[in-house]
Amino acid sequence: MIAIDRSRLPVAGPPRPFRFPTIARDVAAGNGLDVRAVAHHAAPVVSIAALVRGGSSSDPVDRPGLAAFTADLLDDGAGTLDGPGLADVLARIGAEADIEVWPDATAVTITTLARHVERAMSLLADLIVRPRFDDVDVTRVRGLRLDRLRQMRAQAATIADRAFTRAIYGAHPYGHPGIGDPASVAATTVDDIRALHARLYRPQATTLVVAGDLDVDVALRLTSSIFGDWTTAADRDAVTAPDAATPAPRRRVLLAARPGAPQSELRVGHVSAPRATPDYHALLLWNAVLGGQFVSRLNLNLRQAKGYTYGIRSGFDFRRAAGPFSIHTSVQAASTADALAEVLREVTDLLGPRPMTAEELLRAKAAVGLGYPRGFETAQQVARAVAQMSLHDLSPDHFEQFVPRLSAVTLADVAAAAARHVQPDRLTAVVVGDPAEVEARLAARGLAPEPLPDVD
Amino acid sequence: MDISYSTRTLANGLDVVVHEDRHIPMAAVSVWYHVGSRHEAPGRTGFAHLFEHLMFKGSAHHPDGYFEALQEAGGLVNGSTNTDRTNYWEVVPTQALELALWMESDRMGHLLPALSEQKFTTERDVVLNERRQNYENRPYGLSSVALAAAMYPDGHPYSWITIGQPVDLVASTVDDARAFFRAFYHPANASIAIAGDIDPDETFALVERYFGDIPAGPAVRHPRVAASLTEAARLVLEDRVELPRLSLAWHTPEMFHDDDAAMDIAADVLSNGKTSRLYRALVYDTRLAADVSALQASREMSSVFHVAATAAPGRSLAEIATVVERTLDDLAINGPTVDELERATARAEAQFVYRVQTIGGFGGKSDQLNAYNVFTGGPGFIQADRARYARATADSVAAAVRRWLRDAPGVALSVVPRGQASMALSGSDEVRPE
Repeated sequence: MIAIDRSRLPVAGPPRPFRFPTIARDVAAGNGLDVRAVAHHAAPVVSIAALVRGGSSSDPVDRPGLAAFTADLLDDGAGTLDGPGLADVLARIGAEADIEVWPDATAVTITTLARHVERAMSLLADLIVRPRFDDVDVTRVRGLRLDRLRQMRAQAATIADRAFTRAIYGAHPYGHPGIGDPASVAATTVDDIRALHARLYRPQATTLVVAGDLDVDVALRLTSSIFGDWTTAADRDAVTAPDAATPAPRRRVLLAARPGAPQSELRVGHVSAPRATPDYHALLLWNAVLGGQFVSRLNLNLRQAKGYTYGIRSGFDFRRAAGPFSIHTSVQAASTADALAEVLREVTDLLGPRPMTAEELLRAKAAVGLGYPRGFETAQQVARAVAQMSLHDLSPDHFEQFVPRLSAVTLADVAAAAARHVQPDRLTAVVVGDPAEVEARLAARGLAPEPLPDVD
Repeated sequence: MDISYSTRTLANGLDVVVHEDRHIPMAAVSVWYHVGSRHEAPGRTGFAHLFEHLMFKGSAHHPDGYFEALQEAGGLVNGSTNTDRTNYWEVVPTQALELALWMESDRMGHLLPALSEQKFTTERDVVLNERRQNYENRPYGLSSVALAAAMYPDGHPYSWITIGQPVDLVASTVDDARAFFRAFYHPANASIAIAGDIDPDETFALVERYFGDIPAGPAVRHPRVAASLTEAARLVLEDRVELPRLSLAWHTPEMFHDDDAAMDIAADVLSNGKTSRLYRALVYDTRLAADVSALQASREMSSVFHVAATAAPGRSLAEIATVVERTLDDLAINGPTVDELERATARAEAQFVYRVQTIGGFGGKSDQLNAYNVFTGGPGFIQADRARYARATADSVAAAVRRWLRDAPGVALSVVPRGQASMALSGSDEVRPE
């Protein structure tokens, strides 16, 4: 047996080659539906995702929460089946329907055993094309959503997220949470829901992704026969990214009172860049160094060195219009002011006095790039990746080009990109915590908070 | 549905399980130590979990930066602790497999020289933050503490939750940590599973090289303490919540027992989706509750069956309790219908497939192989595991519900808004978990 050299870590060799999914595209349904199929034979599973280009940013101004309310009702009755009837069929094929509403899109995904793909796709078609929106279901779901809104008032993390979003986006379509607010949910009618469904759920605005253990020919043929008769009455305006103005970012600290809270929830950031920015790869790397991963300046400082928190992360939420750059953490109450000051200092430092080093850049590229194939392991992951590719109009070679583009980024690129999209002296902070513990300490650090009005 | 594997045991007792799957150029390493919070001593609770944190703080030959080295190799790395075991895992590009094994073996064989007082203190603060964030500052977050204390007598190994009591964490010392490591973290109490883009023979050879010279370590005594309640209990906990919630709990048989599968099926029949009995009776048809869940929480010594429902505004926990009792009575007498049993077994069968779509991480094939190896004595338990569900009948589910939920007492915990103790079930005793 060869003795082990424990004086140094083994050096990893070059990465092994990986073939990214081959995506077959089709418009054979003839109705504008964008179909993308991928054969992925790792497990006897198929994931079918319908991505509708319209989400909570498509809510009417007086009906925040409508897109999510509508999506919530899709599996409460569709085609010839009521809610329990749909649930029965899904259970018998071992499937679950997953409905997600994001600011730019709504995704309805059914993952099932491969042998049930036809049944699953028919069900998916029922959900998005033929939902029933029966009065009794609208009434029940309204009640459940109001209950959830009420429970959210006790959740510190949720209070912080909502207040932060509102503070940085104001009345912009990204400024309200997907679930909306109690007044809007209470006022929402069946007619509102039907109108939103007619406006957003159209083949021309939908991408259907089929990924999993089947031949692409089979996937395309099934899609064509099951979705071929989906037509909408009239041409409607395409759903575009919101282009409303956002409030000018400015440095301020907002405090939502949670008396006696042992921990403070903290959010820091401002509106930043859209997914389409040419700075995308540079910003990913900048963020990896700041707080995008466990080993980052923020986490090493606030968790590892100071012990203020269980963890801190930063990130860009890249959307069709400019999405938020944000830092989020939960810190012990007595350390709140120190923690916020450290957060602001770390962002400032990385943009100026203590810029990214060549070694940090190299490490970030390795961390983000070498693990990239991990995102293509399951049928669900592949379906999701392909749906995102469609939502953001990414080029067909996007997956293959990701690592080469990442590798090409220079220190100068990173610095320039960060300077364009992050303004350290204009970061807005939201604190949800105990005023007795945090207010005076914040003020003493020149971070005197403004009180935040109650948010429903 | 199966997972192929080969397995060997090193001379020092370390079990090695290997599974080849070349779909992505990655390798998953999963190390299980058969130690969880049930191996802790009263007064030193939370230690297994705190120790999980310390295992990332460095070892003799790499005293700092476990995350750094693996992250910059493109790997994901994490760990978790529960009542019965602790696991550590990496999912790395295949070329970094040797790096992952170097690090796992260094901390198995050479942790203590690198464990300083300062690392210990900082990490204890991190854990106290974790507890405040996830339990104390979260609605209903302390109900698990109250339930554990109510379900078991003082000193029972399941009577505290895995993250431990703050007073114990604060009182603990780095010497306690050293003793804990010596007692539990060694080859004879560990199992390593490696899955992914690997050659099995080369992988066995690598494991032998890196782990073969680590001393076996002392035999571990795994506590085996039965659990039962002599009488029913009603408790009330005041918390920062908007709506009151009723949490019911009963003792049930251990993981992999036939009745454990029967109770899993009962949970599906009771609360999985819009066809389920409690969802219909409490939410869908009546709007008595905002939500309801049922769960067989399987553990190595004995399990717990949970039912929890949050009252809709204006509705009472007493109304909910009445409906739950009636529903359980009916299930205990008549059992699930043919449709219910078909749905539950189809879902269970599909879950076996979904659970092993990944090579590792939290869940996945390497984790599943280790779970079977540590808890059943061999990695090849999947067919026997599936058979438990295939064997379940309407009668066996009814009998299990009758025996464990009807003929035995349970705990009813009401979690109510502060100052609203009257919203609890009548006759509830106040508890103030910390």
